[in-house]
Amino acid sequence: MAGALVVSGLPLLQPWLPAAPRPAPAVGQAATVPGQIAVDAKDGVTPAEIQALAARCGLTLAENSPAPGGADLLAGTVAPGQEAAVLAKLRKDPLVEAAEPMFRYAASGVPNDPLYSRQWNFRSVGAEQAWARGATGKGVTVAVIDTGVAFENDAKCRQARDFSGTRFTAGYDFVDDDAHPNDDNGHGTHVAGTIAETTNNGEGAAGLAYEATIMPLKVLDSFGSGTSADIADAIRYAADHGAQIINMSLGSPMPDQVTRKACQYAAKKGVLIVCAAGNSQGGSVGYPAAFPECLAVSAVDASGGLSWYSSIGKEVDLAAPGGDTREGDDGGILQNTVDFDSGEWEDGYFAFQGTSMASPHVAAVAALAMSRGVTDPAEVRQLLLRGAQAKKPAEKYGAGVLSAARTVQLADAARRDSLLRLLFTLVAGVLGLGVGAIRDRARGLTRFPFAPLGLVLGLLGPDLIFGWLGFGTPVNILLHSALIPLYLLWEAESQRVYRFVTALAIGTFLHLAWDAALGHVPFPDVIPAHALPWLWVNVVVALGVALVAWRRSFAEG
Amino acid sequence: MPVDDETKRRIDDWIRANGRNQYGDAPDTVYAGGTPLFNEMTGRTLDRYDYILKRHPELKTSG
Repeated sequence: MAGALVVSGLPLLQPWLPAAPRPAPAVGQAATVPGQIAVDAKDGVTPAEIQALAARCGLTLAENSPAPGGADLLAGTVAPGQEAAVLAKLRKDPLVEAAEPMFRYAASGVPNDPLYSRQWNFRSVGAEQAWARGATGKGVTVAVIDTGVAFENDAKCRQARDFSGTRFTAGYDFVDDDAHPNDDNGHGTHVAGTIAETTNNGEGAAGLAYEATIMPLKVLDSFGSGTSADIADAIRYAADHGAQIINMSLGSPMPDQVTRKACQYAAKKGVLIVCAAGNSQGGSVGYPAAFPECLAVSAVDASGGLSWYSSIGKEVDLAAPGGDTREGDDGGILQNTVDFDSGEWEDGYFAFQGTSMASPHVAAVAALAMSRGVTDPAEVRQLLLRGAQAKKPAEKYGAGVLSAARTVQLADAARRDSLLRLLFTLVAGVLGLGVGAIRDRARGLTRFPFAPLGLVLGLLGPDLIFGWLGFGTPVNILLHSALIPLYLLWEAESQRVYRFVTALAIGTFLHLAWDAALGHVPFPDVIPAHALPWLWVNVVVALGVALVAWRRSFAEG
Repeated sequence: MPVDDETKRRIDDWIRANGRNQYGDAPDTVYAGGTPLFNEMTGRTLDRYDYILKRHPELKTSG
């Protein structure tokens, strides 16, 4: 019987197993610099000999550093794509001791993208700490519903220069109704860059969830405007084609039911929807951000204060870096994008500001949390809010300012907690069965192990059931209470049932105490302000039920 | 040049008569960043009436 319980419990381990050990994050490792070669010339080489060497091998050579000491290290520049051929010539030349591609090194945990030092926004949310935990967004698809993304090379468009290593999945252009959602504005590419710009490639800037997959969905035209019908279509497309997160850095001041219903559809399918609160300069939150199905994100600047343009209101869920370029580009959010203002395609790094820039930070951190194994969107939403750095007032900052570091830490703790709870349950169940079996054999009895079953149900049942029903459903209030053991105590009439109720109440007591101590509340959307007190009261009630049932299990004998 | 009060009234009347949104566009129009009055690329803001008149210059004069 004990063996059967253990074996039957093994499949339960699957969703709670920690992710397979990850290699150290890619950030911090060296990457070659295109068009650059490091040359170690023989000692005593003269400037004339260096010039001749450069002419022979087809590159330009310059002293790498004027530092005294006689180092003969030269930095060579070649036409991109010619590195291998030039290296072969250099290595055969008698004046050269060694020639290698130029590598760019960075401090461990820090991307080697040269513009990363200007991305104050990532440091302010603790990106490096999140990356150090192995959170990269891998395996998570984020739909970017916007002006499109410069993601492919085709007859009309080119891929933006710092997206060559970014993962993309098939998207759609709802403006032109074709399968090429390329960007003819620049807004969408910039948003996608914050989420997953190619990182640690020795070029450009970094992305926050750099291993996430982007699903580009074009709903805004070259002027940055679109229709609610296209947006609703795109939301449904994202939900039907595997996106786990939607980012919408767009909106309008008026609600519309078509978009609302699409958001409800996506939410029911388990998609987390993140939206820009709007740029109404202190005015109200726009739509779809203000819908309850969406996370509304306001913007903060480099000082952590609300950006001057950000919308505010009770619908704001949290704040994230949106930038402020009034004092210069260094205050903005820097990413690779394309620009058409001059009338020609320009591919470069631009500092934008807006709640459009804040929203993808939240979408990216949600992707980081999901890549750590927390997949329920309501639970990820709660982690984002719990992980935020508290800041008041709520109408400006919601739960606070986004923290990638803390959110990922909480995600790891949630997975670890689930596994520990499962292991404890199995051990307690096996022990209970073992003790019961030994005692029954001593009395010559054979009976069903109700008591160990009750213990397992109390410990594990609530989380198993909400795992099926969803993290934020109202039934979780009942499951995370002592009401069921209390009712059974009321109805119990036999010693066997009192033993079962005792074990069930003990399991419930332990489960609720564990949740309350960790602040793990699986029903935040229903009674957010009273969830923890509810848990603690029910901890006490469950203990009381266990004591009463235990005494009655002997008294009935 | 700031928009005079008479032009503003004319614009608001036109919006009401034609069922447009507050920016003079179709009521189901959605914008990058949530408003066409703030340019996230440049940081520049635009007056609402100036935005409408750029797209509907005929509203500058009465008739």
